[in-house]
Amino acid sequence: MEQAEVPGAAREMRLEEWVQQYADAILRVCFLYLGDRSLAEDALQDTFLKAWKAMDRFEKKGVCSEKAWLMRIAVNTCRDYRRGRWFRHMDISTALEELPPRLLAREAEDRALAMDVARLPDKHRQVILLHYFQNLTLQETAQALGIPKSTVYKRLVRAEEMLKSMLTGGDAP
Amino acid sequence: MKELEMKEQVCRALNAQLSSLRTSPAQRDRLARNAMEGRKVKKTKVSLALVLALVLCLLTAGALAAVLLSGREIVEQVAVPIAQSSKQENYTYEELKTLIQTLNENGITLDEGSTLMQAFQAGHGYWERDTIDEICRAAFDGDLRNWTIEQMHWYGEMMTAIGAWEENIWLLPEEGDMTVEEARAYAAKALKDAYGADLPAESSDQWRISENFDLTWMYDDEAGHEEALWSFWYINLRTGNNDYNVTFDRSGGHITTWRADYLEKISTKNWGTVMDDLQSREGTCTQWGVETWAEFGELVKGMEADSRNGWLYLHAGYRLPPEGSISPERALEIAGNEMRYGEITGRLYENVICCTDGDRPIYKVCHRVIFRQEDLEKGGAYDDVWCLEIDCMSGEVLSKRQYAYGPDGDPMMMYVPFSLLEQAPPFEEKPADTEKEQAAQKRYEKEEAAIAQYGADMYFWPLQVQAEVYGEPCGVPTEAEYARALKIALDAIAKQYGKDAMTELGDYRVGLMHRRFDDEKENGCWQLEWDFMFTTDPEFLSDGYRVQFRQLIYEEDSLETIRDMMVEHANFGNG
Repeated sequence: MEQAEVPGAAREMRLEEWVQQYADAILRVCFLYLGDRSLAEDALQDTFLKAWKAMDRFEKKGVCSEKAWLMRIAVNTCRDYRRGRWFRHMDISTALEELPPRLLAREAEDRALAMDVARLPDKHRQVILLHYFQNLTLQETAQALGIPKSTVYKRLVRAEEMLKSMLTGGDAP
Repeated sequence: MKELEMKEQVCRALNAQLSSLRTSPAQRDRLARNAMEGRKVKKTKVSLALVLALVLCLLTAGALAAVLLSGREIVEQVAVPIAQSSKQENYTYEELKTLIQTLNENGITLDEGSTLMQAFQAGHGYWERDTIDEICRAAFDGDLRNWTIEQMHWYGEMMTAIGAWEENIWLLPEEGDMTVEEARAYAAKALKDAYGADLPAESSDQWRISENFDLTWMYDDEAGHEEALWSFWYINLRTGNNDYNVTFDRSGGHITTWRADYLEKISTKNWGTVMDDLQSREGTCTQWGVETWAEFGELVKGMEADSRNGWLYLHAGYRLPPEGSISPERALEIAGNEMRYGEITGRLYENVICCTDGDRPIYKVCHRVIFRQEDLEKGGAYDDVWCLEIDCMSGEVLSKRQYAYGPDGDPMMMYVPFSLLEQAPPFEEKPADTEKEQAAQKRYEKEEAAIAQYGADMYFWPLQVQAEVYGEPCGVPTEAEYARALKIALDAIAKQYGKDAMTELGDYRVGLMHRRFDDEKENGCWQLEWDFMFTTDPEFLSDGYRVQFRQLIYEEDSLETIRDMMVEHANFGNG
């Protein structure tokens, strides 16, 4: 049976919960997509704006977890942003380097690995971010990216190979 | 590294790297409020926080001073004035030409493989900020995090001058502030007080001190505020790790100190925790030296094995070379001569471990040779791994074996004596793991077979093979479905990249991943998912386009809806 629309006050409460719970995670994923904190903050705002507008549809369908759904909105928002002019000359690994030194990871190994993740080709970085970093299941990752689960799996395997190669001193093939 | 370990490591690394990228309570309130009110809040400027640092490098004393000045002068006298004379954010081709000529005349050449030079050689201009970064990289040979306070301030002035930064947040000490020397001494004392660490006030053979004096956004109240902050990092040159950090404000207050956990204590809960902690301190075990392996051997003495690998590690007898033995360096040399790698022009990685084979102390030397791209193109292997065992006392090569990739390979051969590999007792595996592993193994074997026959990229496998390896909903479209989807994809490329895009691409191949499922119940249609790759370079996707979309078919040959269309360069995101 179709659920009724979420009442106004409950909608507001739900959005506030989502913001409290997922804002930082979405901000980080957006940053790692866009390589720009300012753009990532804009994308974060847009994500919640879209989520607010589409909340009823999500509640009715309920086909995936709210986190996967929000991540999908965030990923799509980032894709739109990336078509913009500024992104075209933005290198995410450089952007990570450009975080203020005070904010840099303190362990060199962590830092190197984060840079390696940032240097992964886009499609491989996406699955690592969502499946590893945001802990989405393979199914949720597939839903968030709008691609088949088998593609997620394939990309994950490839991404792991590349990261291992980088970690053991080789270049990403 | 297993998936779980990799996952944990990636999470930890990204969380650490992005630890300060978070929203404040006030920001979260605004986010929710703006969303409810339907407001978009767009910033027009790139934030300061992002455009801060560069990737330049350690300046080793005065040897580079002349180059540094030359690089500075070119930036100050040529690059910045040209940038200021234009409202654009990029140099035109002609402007870039002037700059590159000036650089060459001053003995500075830019990396031919850089994006800037590629753009230039193709007759294009390039972004101002990135061009200045590139000049600095060429002139200063590396990593900006090791610049002096003065150099950082100078760079900030240049960025501000061309409008890339709103203000220069890299500061110089003013009257009444500590001098740089005083701040360094203050930092060393703070770490001495906090941890008893004897750290130098200047970079030394053991420590590289990275320093910074900048305006930092502090979140100690809800709104946050900016504050000038000294920061010092102590990089252990032996390991390359950042072991200590201290920050304080311009008056020496608000001191925060930090020390890497592994400097406090190695966890000796079991051999795995010892290895984890040592890896945190020294890098992955493939990078450990003889001393670290010996330390590992000492720490795990008497521990119980819970797996085959554990048993092997616990019985390998890691130790320091005994008195009178050849040096680890000599062992590497002997191994190099034995393998005659001089004939191979690929890159070589090597490590050496001292352990015990029976009663005999031996060196295990492991070599990894990465073959050249040219060899790869001729169908050669990507790399080879060879392990050699050498008698510590005589230097005699006792044995050598090649590591086999795939299910038959035993990576432990790189870390323990060969003779030990056959002696390990069987350890029971958990049934669930076995089942999972069997399924994974089957898939792996199918994948390997497909890769061997059709190449590494699944896009270019026949769809039937994709379906066999990955199962449903991967499937095979009818000829008519394929023709229709191909037309949609090519039209989308023409729309986004121009009608000549595919002609310009040349003799391309079409790769495809396809998924299909019956969505009749939910949405009254069939859903076909298409992910096309058009490229002349299926291996590295260095050119061409990728088109993804979903096709919702409501009635055969009549009604369809296209969703989630995405068209991009095949190598988008490769940097």
